[in-house]
Amino acid sequence: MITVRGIKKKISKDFHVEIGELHIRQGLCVISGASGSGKSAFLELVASASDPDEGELLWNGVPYKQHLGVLRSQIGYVPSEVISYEEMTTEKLLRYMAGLKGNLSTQSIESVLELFRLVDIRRRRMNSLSVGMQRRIILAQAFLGAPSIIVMDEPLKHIDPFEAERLRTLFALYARRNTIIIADDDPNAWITNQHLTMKSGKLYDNTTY
Amino acid sequence: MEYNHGTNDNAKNTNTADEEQLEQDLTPFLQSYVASPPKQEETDRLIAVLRPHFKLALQRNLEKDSSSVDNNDDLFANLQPTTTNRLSLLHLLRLQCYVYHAKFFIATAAMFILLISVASSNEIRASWLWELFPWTIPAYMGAGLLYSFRSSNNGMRKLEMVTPYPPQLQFMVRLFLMYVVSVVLGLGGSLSAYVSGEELSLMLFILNWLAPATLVMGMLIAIQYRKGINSAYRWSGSVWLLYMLMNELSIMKVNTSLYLLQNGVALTVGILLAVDSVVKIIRTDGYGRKVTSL
Repeated sequence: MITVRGIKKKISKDFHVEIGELHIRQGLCVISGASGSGKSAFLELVASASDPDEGELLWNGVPYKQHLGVLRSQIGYVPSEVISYEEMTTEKLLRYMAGLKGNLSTQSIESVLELFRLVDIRRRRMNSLSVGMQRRIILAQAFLGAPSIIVMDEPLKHIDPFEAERLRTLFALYARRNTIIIADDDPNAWITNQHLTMKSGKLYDNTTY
Repeated sequence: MEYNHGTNDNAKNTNTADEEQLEQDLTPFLQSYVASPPKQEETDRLIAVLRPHFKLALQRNLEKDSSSVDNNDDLFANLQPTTTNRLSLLHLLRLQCYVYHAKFFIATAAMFILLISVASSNEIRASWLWELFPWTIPAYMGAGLLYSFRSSNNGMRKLEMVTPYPPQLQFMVRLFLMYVVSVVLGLGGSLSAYVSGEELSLMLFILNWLAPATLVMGMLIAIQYRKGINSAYRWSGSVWLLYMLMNELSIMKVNTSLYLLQNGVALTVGILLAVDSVVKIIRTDGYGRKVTSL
């Protein structure tokens, strides 16, 4: 379980993300809200990609800062826009990311290649792939090493509707034993366990199913 | 045919009249059963009421679909949970080589061959070599490091950051890699020049390019640790240019001991800055003061 305790983060001169007490339980949690409501900034904080100015985040009762390295090996992260090393092949990028996560297993790479239907393009370079394919590779790297927490910012952007539907099911299955936090403008498209709504950098609604 | 047609028309007229009469009789009675079209708010309310039931139904379907998956091994069983025991600096060094494309190493090899051929050429004056090396070696190191950050996309930086290897450590290893390649390149060139019979003191010649390269390396790592990569390049670039300007001053070259002192100080400062930063990076588990500075 992720616990948020009174975090505050300054994003710009007149915009703060400010969340009081919040618990995100195992399962699929979807965050929605208008553009500029602070969803991405909040996800960065949850993914440990940025530090809060005030307050703290805890994973199963342990503060993030206490074991940041170990925690980061347990987090899969997909930012909203990622432009990867363009000459890297699909397989090399996955190998690189798996290595950085401390996962040397080739089985893990083979598994995500199959789960995300990337086997046919494993030797293709990033710059020769469509934006949708590149997005799928970035999604795939988040699942390397079976992380306990996966944080994804608009994960299905650029992905075709049929593949998007399949991935929604895949994420829902994964969320049965792990925590997946997704920022998406269409929360009704997901089978959620928790739905957060953000407005002007603050938590506007928190519904648990 | 005509007779039949007439009969049919009469029957049709009678039926229509009866139907109209029946409709008129029943209108007041049926009025209460006629439903008006639903308003938008009513539809929204209905959907809101039904949504939990939809979700429950979908969840049940999903569980039914996935039960076969659960029965035959877990779909995600092969993802292999990560253990941080496998982390090591050597492993990180090997990983950072992934970031360099084969083209980069081909270009390095070409540059190395060019440097050796220039160094061993009899037509090149020794004074040129003294100026060539302190320019090319640090420039190559800085450019090589910058090349590793060619995907300046913030998203990719964040991806590399949310890993057990801290961003400062990743930077340190990339810089170390480039420093080692640069030194090997410089040593190869220096030895070629020495072997080809140039009248130069090998140790002094090596110090001539090693000192600025080490100073730039030390400044890059120290400033990056404190202020981030942009400031690191700005400051170390400026100091390097200032150093080269001082190098150009004839007084330094005429007076060997002053020249030695200048290079010795640069080398020492570079090493001290690098050691101090490396110790701090390791002491803070590699996170440094600015966790998100890359």
